Parts: sequence; C-alpha cells; structure tokens
Amino acid sequence: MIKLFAGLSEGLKLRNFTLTLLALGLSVSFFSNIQIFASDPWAHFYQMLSGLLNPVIEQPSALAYDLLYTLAFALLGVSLSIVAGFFLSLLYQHWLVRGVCAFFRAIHELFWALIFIQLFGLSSTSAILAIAIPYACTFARVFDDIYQQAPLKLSEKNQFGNARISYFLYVLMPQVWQQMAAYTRYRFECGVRTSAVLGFVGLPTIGFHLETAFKQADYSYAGALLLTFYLLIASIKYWLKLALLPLYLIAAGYFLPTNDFVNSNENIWRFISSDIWPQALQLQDTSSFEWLVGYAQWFSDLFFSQGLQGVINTLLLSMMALALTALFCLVIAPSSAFLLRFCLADKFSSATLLIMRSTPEYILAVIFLLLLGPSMLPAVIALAVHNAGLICFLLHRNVVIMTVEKGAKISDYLYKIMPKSYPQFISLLMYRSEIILRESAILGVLGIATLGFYIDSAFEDLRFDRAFALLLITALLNIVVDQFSRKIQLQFNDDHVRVRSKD
Amino acid sequence: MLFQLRDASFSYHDKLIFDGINLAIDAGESVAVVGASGVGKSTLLRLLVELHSDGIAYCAQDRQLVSGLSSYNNIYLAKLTEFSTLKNVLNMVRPNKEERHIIREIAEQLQIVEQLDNSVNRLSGGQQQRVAIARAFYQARAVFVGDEPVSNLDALKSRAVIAAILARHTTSIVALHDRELALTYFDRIVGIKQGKIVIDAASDQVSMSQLESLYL
Repeated sequence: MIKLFAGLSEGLKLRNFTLTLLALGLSVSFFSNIQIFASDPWAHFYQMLSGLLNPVIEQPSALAYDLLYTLAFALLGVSLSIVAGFFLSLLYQHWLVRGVCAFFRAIHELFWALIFIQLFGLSSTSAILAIAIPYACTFARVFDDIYQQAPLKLSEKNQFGNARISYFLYVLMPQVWQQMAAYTRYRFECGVRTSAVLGFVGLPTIGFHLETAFKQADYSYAGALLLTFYLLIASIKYWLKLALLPLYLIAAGYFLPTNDFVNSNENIWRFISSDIWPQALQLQDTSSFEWLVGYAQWFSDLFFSQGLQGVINTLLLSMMALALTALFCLVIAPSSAFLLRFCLADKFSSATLLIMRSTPEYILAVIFLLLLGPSMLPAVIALAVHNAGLICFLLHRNVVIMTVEKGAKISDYLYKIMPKSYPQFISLLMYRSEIILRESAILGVLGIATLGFYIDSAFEDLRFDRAFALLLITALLNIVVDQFSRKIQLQFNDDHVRVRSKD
Repeated sequence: MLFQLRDASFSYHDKLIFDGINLAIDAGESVAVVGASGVGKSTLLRLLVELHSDGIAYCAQDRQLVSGLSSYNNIYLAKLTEFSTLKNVLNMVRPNKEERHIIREIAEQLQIVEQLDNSVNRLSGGQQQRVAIARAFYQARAVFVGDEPVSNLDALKSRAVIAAILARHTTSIVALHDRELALTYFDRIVGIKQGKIVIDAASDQVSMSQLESLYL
C-alpha cells in the first residue's frame, strides 16, 4: 500500500490516492444498480420543497411530545454511556475490553434497537439502551485516544505502578478533561440525531412521524418536523450546561413515555439461550463440539445464501458513497472558502453545510428514495451529502483560521490553503469511511439489498437466529474496514495532524 | 563514588553524541556542566539520573509541569507514589495541611507563594521554572540534578535560586549557560565540546577564557 501511493512528494501521494479513490468509486458504479426509477423526480422535488418551505403544525402538542421524547432518550442514553464509557476507557488497554468495545460499536444503534424491541417492546428502555451501548463503546475508545495523546507524559511514569489512580488524577485528567468535555458535548448532539432516527423503527421519537409524513406526502408537516429538529440541534450549545445536566436528567426521567409492555425474565432468557440460535441444532442432543460444527455448517450456508450478497452490496455502496463524498468535498470546500468574502453568501453556505450535516443520513436516504425510486443511488447521494457537509464544515473552520486574505484568488487557495488542509481532508475522509460503512449496512432497512436489508427481513420473519448471525457478519466487516481505514489514515499524517473521531 | 561513567558512549538516532567519556563524581561535590547548546549536556545528565533514579531530585529542561493543575498540586505531584491513594485523592479536594505547610515554605524561598493556587499555564516562564525547582526541593533528596534550571530567571534571582539549590543538597550537578554563575558557585567545572569532556577541573583552576573557548 505504501508503494502504491508513494510519490516524490506528499502532494503526489495525496493526488494518487484521491484519483484511485474516485476511479474505484466510478468503476464500482458500473456493477451496481444506480438507476432512477421515478418518472419525474424534479416535479416531485419542487412539490416536496414547497411543502418543506411552508411548514404547517396542526397538532403542536403531538410535536412537543415527539421532541420531548427524542430529547429524553438522547439525554438519558448519552449520560448512561458517558459513565459506562469512562470506566471502560480505564480498562481499554486490555485486549478483551478493546475487542468487546470494537464489536458492540460496530453494530449500529438501529440494529441494537431492533434487538431490544424484541426484548422490551417499543419502550423507553429499548431506546435508551440502543443509544447507550454503542455510545459507551465509542466513548471508551475516544477517551482512551485522548489519554494516549495527552501532551505530557511524566518521564518517571513507570514508577507510578502502585499509584495509578493518583497518576490519573494528577497528571492525566488536568491535561485532558477539557477535550473530553468538548467531545461529550458533541456526542449529545449525535445522541439527539440518533434518537430521532430511532423513530423509524417504531420508537416514539420525531423520526416516527417524520417517516409517516413523508410517506403520506404531507410535506408541510414533514417540513415543520425537520425545522424544529434543526432548531433543537442548533440550540443545544445554548442550554446544555454541565451544572444543569442533573436537572435535565431528572426531568427526562419524569417525562419518559410509559409503556404497558412487560416481558417476563423467562422470555428474555429464552431469547438469549434459544431464539438466536438455529432451531435445527437445539432438537438434537449433541456434544458441544458437534454443536459447533453444526453451527459452522449452518452459518456458512447462510453466509453464501444471504450474507455474501449483503457484504458485497454494502461494500459497493460504501465505495460509491466515499468517492462521491470526496467529489462533493473537492467542489464544496474551495467554493465555500471563496464565498467567505461575501457576507450573505457566506451565511448561506454555512447554513447549507449546517443542514447537510445535521440531517441524519437515514432521513436523507428516505427523502431521496421517495424522489428517485428504489436503487442504490438515493443511499449513495444521502451518504455523500451528509458526510461532505460534515467534512467541509470541519475544513471550513480551518480555512477561517488560516484567514483568506481580501482579494484572494483561486490560485491562493490552491497554493496556500489546499496543501495545508488536504492531508486533514484525506484523514477525515478515511475516518468517515468506517461510519459510511456502518450506515451503508443500516440503509438496507429501507430496502436496498445491503446487510441491513437481510437483517431487517430476518427480524420481520422472526428468524432471530439469522438476524444474530448476520449481525455478527456486519460487525466483523465493520471491524476489518475500520482497521484498514486507520492504516491508510496513518499513511497520510506523519506530522501532528491527527483527526479524532468526530462523526 | 556516587557516579561513575567509564568509557561511556551514547548515540541517538544513529548519531553519536558521546564517544568514550570518563566521569566520576563523589558525594558532596557541586558540579557545573558547561557547553554550547546541542553538545549533549542534557544527555549526560539523563545518563547520570538513570544510574540512581531513586535518590535524585531531577529538574528536567522541559519542566514536566501539568498545565491544567495548580502550582501547589504540581509540586505535590513529586511525592504521589510515596503517599496513599486516599491521601492523594483527598488532597485534590482540599490541600493536606502538613504538605501545604512544607510546600509553602519552599515557595516562599523561591518567591512563588502568590502563584501557588494558579494553574501553571497562567504563569510566566520564570515562574514555571521555579515551580519545577520547588518540585525538586519538595522531594528532599540528597542529590540534585538540574538541566538549565535558571535559564529564564534574571541575574539576581538566578543567584538566589542556585544558592538555595546548593544549600539544600549535599551533591548538585547542574547544566548551565551562565559561565560566571558556574565559576562563582560551583566547586568543579565539566566542559563539554563535540561529544568529549574537554575541561574537568576545580573551578578555581578554570579561567573565563577557557570556558568561552567551549562556545567557539
């Protein structure tokens, strides 16, 4: 890999890498289904846009409850994950903790929701756990990353063998807590987005009515829901204060929706001990070795009948989405830097970036699917729009720091800004590739034949054994791609630029 | 003999820094290590520290201060391993009375009492340097090894701090830029040039012009 992208200069290496990525994305698109099936997407688009721009709220109280539940799930789920993630981060150097975290993190929140809905119904517990578990594992990794990168490591650290708590308290925490707090605040924002999306599998958050509104072509109501959602996201930084958090948590607990669904412990135990394992294996009285062989046989059958196709489609979708994200960024980043000089245009471009990055991929995919009809194309565009919005926002911040001089020309951008921000761009892109893969898998729930499609179908058919095995495959694929993208990331930032998990 | 290097060589990233040096330092000596920047003074000091890391109060050039922590806690930090975890945790919440008293006395000597409760990133370079020295003093060891410990202080303060270092330790080994300070306060001068010890003599045997030749 080093040889492939090697060049006389860093610039050449980056150029070759970008071209390879774009070429891969393009060639992959020949093998994928990216047709437009809708008859007149533009007419539909104008209809949708005029609805979205004329938001109408018929039942303000229903909307208020949607928002309240969305927020309550996010607050409780993320808070729980901070506590768990913090303790896990202390043990993160242990291979077992690292492995379990990588595995749990690799399973998307919506998949967790699908599992917990089987156990606890469409309840608050399901929603909170679906957020808390993957988030806790992400916190563990990011906190550990932050510890590892703390600027000062006392030279006599090895003498702290017996005083690890003291070392942590006196040396590590004072250096990193601000960074941890900033990341935590950011994760709350992610939590609100995740919580909204949980509505798409039936939990009572804003996504539930959003999906209905879009499917019934009630675009005015969808517009109202989206608008309040953006306002909610944009307002987080004004009201989310550490001191007020306990108050919010109490309020969130108080307002949680109640649910009559009660599952017996036996049912829950049966789900774990028998439902998620193939039926055929449970009838026979076998030794554990025979059981293992039987499971392997069953697993490989499932892999070749469903899993492989799912893996291939997931990878194809990710490759195309990654290439299109890169392409979007290459167009948007310079133009938004250029627009800095014109006050109004600057406002417009930052508002566009805000909308692009705060709309969850899942919601964008629903919208594009309605417009363009069922193929991979809507998912590719949705992933590219969301990720390009986010990457350009992060790059844009740097451009502001580097201050574009008045009267700067495009050549100034090419020679002064791009060489500095390009390695960071590639690094961000590689980091996002893991998330694009996660999302590619989950977008299958919408009917695109990625892994999520097969998992969702298995849940619908109540074939939990298949769902579980396919989830295993998804998680493993995610871990492999994550390792791979980290390796590439390291290739391109040998100096201080290291981008951390900012999804 | 407290320290003894015999025919020691040291290389860093394939670059030979020391080539066959010999150095012996007895308990009770005060030694100034002098030489231009980059000749390996810091490397030599680190070699010595590694010989007896337990008994030495070492004041490194990069100060090793934790930026978000107050000066008091930065000084207290030196003894973390000697105290129980409980004591350390409680001290974080509310300074331990006895330790606070000891540290306050050291801070008075170094004129940083006012800054004890400020976090170190708000201090000037000279104040930070004295916090690092205070941390070394707090350990109350017999041997002091310092790498340019007074480089950011004015002439008057430098003299006071060097005097305090010598008074508090039976053996002191200090790398210095200031030739005059080296000649006035230390018994013995070790001059380094191009990876070799070129001067090693009692300070009254060494002239200012000899020291200056190290920098040519």
